[in-house]
Amino acid sequence: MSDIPSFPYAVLWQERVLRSVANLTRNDATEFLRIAPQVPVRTAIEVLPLAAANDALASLRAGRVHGAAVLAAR
Amino acid sequence: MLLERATTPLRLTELPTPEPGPGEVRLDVAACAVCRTDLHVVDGELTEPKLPLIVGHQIVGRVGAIGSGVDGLHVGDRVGVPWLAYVDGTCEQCRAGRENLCVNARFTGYTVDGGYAEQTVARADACLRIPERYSDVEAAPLLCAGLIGYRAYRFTGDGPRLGLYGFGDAAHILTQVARHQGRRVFAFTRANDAETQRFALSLGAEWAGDALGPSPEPLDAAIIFAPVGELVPAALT
Repeated sequence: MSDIPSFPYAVLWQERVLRSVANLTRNDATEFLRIAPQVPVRTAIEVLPLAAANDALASLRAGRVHGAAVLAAR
Repeated sequence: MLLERATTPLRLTELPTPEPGPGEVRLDVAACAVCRTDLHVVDGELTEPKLPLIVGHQIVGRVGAIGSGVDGLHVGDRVGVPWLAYVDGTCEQCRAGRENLCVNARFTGYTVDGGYAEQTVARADACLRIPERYSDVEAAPLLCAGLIGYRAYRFTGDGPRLGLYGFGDAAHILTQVARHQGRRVFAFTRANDAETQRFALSLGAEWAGDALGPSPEPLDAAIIFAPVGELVPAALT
């Protein structure tokens, strides 16, 4: 996480809104899990064994994962 | 896989089978997706983890044992466990419908053990039903990349031109949702990351380019997923 550099005040004119998003509510979860199969959302995944968790984290850090890395327990 | 100290690799180890307490279930974990937040935990950028800790908060598993006082879940049920592990339900934020900001919230794979494991324990009221069309490994990324991404997406209003900065797990899901709802998606990636730009275009983004370069059109809204401060003024201008 790096700091936000300063920028001209005018960038926020016209009632532009800058906000952060934290965590989730269970309502968000229920609503998204209802919509996802309707789209239908298809997830692009790279499956690795659980024991390869450090490799998965390294790939994510390096920007080598396209979609999501998933650890499979068995 | 156990995190014993921030900035050290996870260690493969054997732990006792966790027992579900009141209101909890034990899950046999089938899959757990890897999130950028896991990196922030392992790197010590999130500074208050339970230690030692099992990381991971996009868990798909089956109920293997049920604690006292649990209604509505049965052994064998398939469920998902997201980042939000517990809320008190009584604080000012919870009562105002903002349980995401609960002052006593606990978080899966950060302040309670998570899913980089063969078994874990979760509160029954945090467990989510997983749509049947998804396999275990397909469903896992829906539980954070999808869910929290969707929370951010809901704040973007209904303007047609949506920018996504940082095209990882969340953006790849939201692009599909936004296209389904008839919106135009502009994907912003690391400079010269042609592979990710092709990936974004393959999912329905109409344009993909460098995050610090100009947008081809003014955007109605943008979501920044990459933890890079200089993207904030870039997305606003």
